[in-house]
Amino acid sequence: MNKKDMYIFSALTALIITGGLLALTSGSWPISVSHVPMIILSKLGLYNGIINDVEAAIVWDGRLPRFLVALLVGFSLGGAGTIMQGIFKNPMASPGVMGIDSGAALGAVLAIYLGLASSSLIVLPCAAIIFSILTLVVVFAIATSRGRTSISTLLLAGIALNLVLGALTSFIITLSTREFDVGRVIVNWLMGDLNNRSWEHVHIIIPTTGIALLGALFFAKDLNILMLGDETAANLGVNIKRARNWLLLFSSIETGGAIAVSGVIGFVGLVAPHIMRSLVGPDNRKLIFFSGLLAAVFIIYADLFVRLIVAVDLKVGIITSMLGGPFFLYLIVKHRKQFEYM
Amino acid sequence: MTPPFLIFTGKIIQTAARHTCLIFTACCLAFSLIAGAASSAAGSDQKTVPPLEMERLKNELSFVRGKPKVEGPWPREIRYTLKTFDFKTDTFQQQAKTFVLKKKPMRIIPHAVGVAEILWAICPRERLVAFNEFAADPASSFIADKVRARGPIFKSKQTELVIGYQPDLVFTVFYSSADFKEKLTQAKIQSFDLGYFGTIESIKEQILLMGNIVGEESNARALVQRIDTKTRELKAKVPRRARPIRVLYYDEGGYVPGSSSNFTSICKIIGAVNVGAEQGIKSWSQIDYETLLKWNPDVIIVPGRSKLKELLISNKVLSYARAIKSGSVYYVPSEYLRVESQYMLLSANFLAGIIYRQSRKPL
Repeated sequence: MNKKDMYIFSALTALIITGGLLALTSGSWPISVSHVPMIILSKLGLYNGIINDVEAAIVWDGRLPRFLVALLVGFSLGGAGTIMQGIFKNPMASPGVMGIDSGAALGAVLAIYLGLASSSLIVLPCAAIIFSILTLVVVFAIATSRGRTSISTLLLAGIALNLVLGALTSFIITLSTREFDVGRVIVNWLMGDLNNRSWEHVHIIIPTTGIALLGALFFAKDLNILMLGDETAANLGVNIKRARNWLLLFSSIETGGAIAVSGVIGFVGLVAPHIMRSLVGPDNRKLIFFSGLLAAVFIIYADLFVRLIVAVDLKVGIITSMLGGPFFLYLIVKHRKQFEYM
Repeated sequence: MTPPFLIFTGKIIQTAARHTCLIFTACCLAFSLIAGAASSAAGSDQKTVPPLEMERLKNELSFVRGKPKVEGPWPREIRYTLKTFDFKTDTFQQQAKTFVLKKKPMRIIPHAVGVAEILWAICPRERLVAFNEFAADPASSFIADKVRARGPIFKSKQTELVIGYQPDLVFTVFYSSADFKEKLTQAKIQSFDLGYFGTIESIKEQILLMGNIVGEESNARALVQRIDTKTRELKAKVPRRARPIRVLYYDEGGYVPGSSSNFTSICKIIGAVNVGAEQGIKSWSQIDYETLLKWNPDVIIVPGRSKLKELLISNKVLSYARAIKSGSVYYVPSEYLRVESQYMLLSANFLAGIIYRQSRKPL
């Protein structure tokens, strides 16, 4: 990392820490700012003084898991977006292009509709992850012929499956309108929501983010070379098939894990890599990490805005889409000359 | 001769099989014990002692006939105020209207559960020619079994079917789809749009209005009188408390009803407080666990078919909430919570049975 990268890293870290402090010290239950560090230290076994049990439960079991979920979801989506844009060599690519979002959404919506989601906190995320992995398997099966996976077929299969899964999700939503309360929960989940997140959700997303991040960083150098073109990559000794498949798998795990705990949060995976690419350059060894940090900042502050400013009924996914949508349009306008010749 | 290692392996398998059987039997036993305990716990949840006898009250509200009286003239012009709730602005709106009926309607279709329940009580049943699917759903309707037995039943969007029954009057509600109402108009079928049903007072107004429209004024008045009588009986049996019990209705997704909801009216009848309304919610709003803890209700009500009770009880933030600590989280069947008819009294009676059996506990 050069000096500029260090500054950016410091700025992003400072933003995350500030967001964390705001998230832990603010909420409907008034808790003195000075109590929060004592609660955290006490829970970590580093402070033996007296703490208020109610405040401790709110901070440790309510606000902290919510903040960590926001952080990890952002990190996952930012990293996954960077990988997708690198593999498809397309600035418009995002974790959704493979249909993983739609697969996870269908799994979660099914779990809610069948009444399984309310039986345990684990059921909904598990259903989302299983369906996202199944989607990935189907997309790969469609795009793979004689052991070779075509990148353009992969993209097309992802788009087609996106439509099919989206239609199935819509069908379930239609069925659920008979049950007003079920329909409301489904719509909420599809909008991306971090309300009432707990340690169970953190435990679900930590391994998916951790494994996928380490895996992606391991293949980041290969991803850099893949972006030069398959022929060049092959000449430089990269096992294209292996690198690409692993990277897609890691990206899918990151996306599936994030969606499983937060619902569908759009555009973060698209926007964060773009911004960071212009700041730290195209080297994926840095970009994956920096995009994750920026996406985390984005989601943490979107959640703070929802939680502390508008308080109710606005979802994180709506905020990210409202900000990400115009950015997407900006990209289209900026690159329209390229598209004219396609 | 069998090799020694095979004999040894066989013994291991036999021992393992025996142990597995034992473990399996123990697991089955444990499971049945846990299941038994769980079911008895779930059962005890429903063992409420309402102030008024439930089945009798339900029957009294399901069929009401007033003193036979000479009918008013037909055609008749009905002047009324349509009160509706605007969900976008959380405000009520009122509009003076006039409705003209050429003759007494003999083929009536109610397009909402509450309307069907009211008509079931005051109108000769042979005049009700079809019912909306929700009126036949036990999770929404108190007359579901009767509606199913009688039929026919149509789905909300099956406008063609409704037209096919050739009704001379369809009762819609202000939130019925505009498309449905428009198709009725095109088919030259007279429809009447009913307004807000969220409080017992507004329900009584609607009963009188409906009685006037279908030509069953005396029955409608008798039903309103019965509601008043039973409300007085219920209130007389509800213990008087210096501080009313604060009840929170927590629905799926963390949604809580506010002041314009029927839950506020249910609570008012029995002298309880809807915490959502107390905290400024108007229609419905989503809250997080921290807010729930801050509001700290005495009793939490969750819809019957959900798993919300387990979810709330197992949450660490809520472990300090008064209702969780005192074990005052109760399932209430959905139809009691969705009620928009005279059966609101039944819901109030049911809720009183739940919350006042706790009255001896210090709250």
